[in-house]
Amino acid sequence: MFLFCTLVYAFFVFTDVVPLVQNKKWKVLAVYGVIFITAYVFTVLTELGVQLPSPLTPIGDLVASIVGSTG
Amino acid sequence: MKKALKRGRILCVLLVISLLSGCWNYREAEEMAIVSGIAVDKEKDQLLVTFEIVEIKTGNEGNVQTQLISSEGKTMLEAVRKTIKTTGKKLYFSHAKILVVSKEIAEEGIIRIIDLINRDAETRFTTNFLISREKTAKEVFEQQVVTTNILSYELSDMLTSQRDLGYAYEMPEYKFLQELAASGISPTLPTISVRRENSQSFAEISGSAVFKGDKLIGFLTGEETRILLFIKDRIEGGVLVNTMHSDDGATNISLEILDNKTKMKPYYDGENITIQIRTKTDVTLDEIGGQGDYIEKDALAALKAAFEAQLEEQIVNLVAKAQQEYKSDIFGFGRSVKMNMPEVWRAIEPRWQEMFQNVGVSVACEINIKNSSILSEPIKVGD
Amino acid sequence: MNKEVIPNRQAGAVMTMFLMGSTLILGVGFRAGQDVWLVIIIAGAAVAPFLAIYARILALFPEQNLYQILNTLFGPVAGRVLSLLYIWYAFSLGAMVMRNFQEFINIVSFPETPIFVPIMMMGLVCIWAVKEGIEVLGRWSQLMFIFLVVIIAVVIALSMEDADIDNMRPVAYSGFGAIMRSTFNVFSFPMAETVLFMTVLRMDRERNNPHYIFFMGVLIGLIVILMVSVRNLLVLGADLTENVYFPPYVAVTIINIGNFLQRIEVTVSVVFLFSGFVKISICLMSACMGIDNLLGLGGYRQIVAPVGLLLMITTCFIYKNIMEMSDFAFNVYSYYAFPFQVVLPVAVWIAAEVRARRALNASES
Repeated sequence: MFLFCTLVYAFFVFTDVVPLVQNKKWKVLAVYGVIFITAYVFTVLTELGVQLPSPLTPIGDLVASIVGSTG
Repeated sequence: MKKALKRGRILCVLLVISLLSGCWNYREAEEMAIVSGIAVDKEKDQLLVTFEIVEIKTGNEGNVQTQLISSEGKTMLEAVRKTIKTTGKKLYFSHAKILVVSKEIAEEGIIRIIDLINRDAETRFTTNFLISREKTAKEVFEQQVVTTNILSYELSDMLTSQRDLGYAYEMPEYKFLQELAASGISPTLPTISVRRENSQSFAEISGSAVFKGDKLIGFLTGEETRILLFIKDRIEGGVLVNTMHSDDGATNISLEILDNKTKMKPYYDGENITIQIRTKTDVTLDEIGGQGDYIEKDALAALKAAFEAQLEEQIVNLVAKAQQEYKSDIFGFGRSVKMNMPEVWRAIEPRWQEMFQNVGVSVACEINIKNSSILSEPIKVGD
Repeated sequence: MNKEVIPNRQAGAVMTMFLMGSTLILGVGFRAGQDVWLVIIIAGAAVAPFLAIYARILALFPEQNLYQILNTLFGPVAGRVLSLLYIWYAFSLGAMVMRNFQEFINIVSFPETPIFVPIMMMGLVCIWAVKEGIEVLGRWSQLMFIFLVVIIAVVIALSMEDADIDNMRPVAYSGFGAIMRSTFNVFSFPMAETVLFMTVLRMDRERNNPHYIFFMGVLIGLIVILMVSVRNLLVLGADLTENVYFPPYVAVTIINIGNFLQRIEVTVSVVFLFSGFVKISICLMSACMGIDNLLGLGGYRQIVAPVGLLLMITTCFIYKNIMEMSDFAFNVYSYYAFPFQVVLPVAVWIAAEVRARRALNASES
């Protein structure tokens, strides 16, 4: 499972990252890198069983508090 | 550099593909025991579940045999999984067509049994439910098969063919759930019993079981079930039989039902509900058991009137029985009120259980005799 | 490079597929009971003025997508903030839809497959499609949507045997309040989600008519959704429809013609996946275009991959389980989406009209 995900990410490194470096698109590479690494970290964490907090939970609570007080 | 890139990519893809071949949810056909029917009984406080399992023997002409396996458990799923102790295979339910429940369990509440069938993704919503009139549901499965090798499938076919008789009717799971959930109608289920003749015994599907909520409270005979179907507008075929009396004596007449349409209309006078039931049946005069000429105009009219009166009486009787003996609205009178007079229904719904018993019924049956098949006269008898 | 412009018909087709997206799996109008058809029609009427607003905004700024329009109207700072909001909306919607499909596959077909696998499969295809650009998506949708609609029509025809018209009566029993609440639900899911199309479509001055795109796309989508919902109702009845997670799927399992044409639900589900794929791709594309505009990257295709990967992993933890997913969809989503679907577009529209009026006055004087 872990190997599978890493392979997929590796594939994208080959496909995208290397051409970016070649063409010296540093800004794009930076953005790419940040998002890429974030995604990879999350993936690893999920593999390890860490329960990542959902961004929707605070939204749900916020809506509930607004609607609850009016409705 | 470009070549190395390309090679890197291809390598990744190949590795991924090799990891992907094969599945997580891979199941060999031989590792599964295919269930065709389920019977549930009570054993002290546990459930005794019997499964009819189909075994396919390889060889000439796909020989098919069935086996019965029983297992106990506090819940349905526990019993299901415990069968692994004896079969070594996991049960596969997608082909299960029949569920037979013993009346003992049904009297306590049938939801205990059917939630698994409902919820599990493998079981199908078109599974047919039956209630066993015998002491157990299991013995139904132990009967002889007549036409095919798989008893459950045969029972399923028997249910479907009831269209031409009307003594029972198919109740697939999703329809049962609809009637159970709906306010204004109580569900019914077809019943199955064992008929013993000489030294042989057969499974027989006839009649229905009456529910109140999800608990079984009584039974209807085959004849009564047919009337129930008339009221619920679910008649698709069958026979109407009556005896006509004349100077020639008593003659038995058969009318074959071609089609029927029933209309239910509720009326409210502020206090009580009256339901007007109108049936319109197309029939053919299929059998005259004597020499009396009932095809001739006046006699035909008398015949029509007699049959209509008979049907009306039967309907009135059945409604009375449901009201007094079972106090359960199996006809959907409440639902009729809800559909036609929603405001009234909203007001009376909480009291419907009692109000149902006082509902008045006005019945009008119309029988259209379309033809007398290929004979235009009764059989002639010379000297 | 390509101009990222597609002909009207294709855009409409993409929009229809987008609308059918998760609706074919989940059904719409939860809690509307037997009045779901009424709710859908009312919601369609309710969304019409907003469609006009979406179209108008695009019409006023040809060759620009919403992110660029935001920059033009509100300046680089405020424009970027608003863009960020839409990027977030697109991203979260994509994750939610993907999770819908993952749960569906999981419950109905592969209970033991780990959550990541179907997500990854679908995600990779979406990344590829988005990378190829909207022209490809447009052409594909134009083809597939007819195929999809035909299959749906055939399946509905097969369902008619088990349909019971009484299931739809009595009309409007649930009462005004419940109907209005359901209408709000249907409005935000899926009707007004088409707001995202402002972010991915660019109008070519001569070839495109944004009003046609929005109205035709939504109209056809609405008709399909209506047909499917009515079929669900007729076959399953109101109570059962509310009880199951995936009513259209269950309705299809019941089809059994002459003991031969049965168990077709698996084939049908595969077809449903196509529309989900379109919906997720559009969300992904929107998010990427937004990021591209926000950070000035000079092209969105380069970051499709990492954004897509991030989307896939977010899908895994966006809900703990399917109950949470349902709960969010019923109770929270309409309110959450409201600012994106209603408030912001209206604000943008007003700003756009003001600007256009000023430009007109300036050119006249």
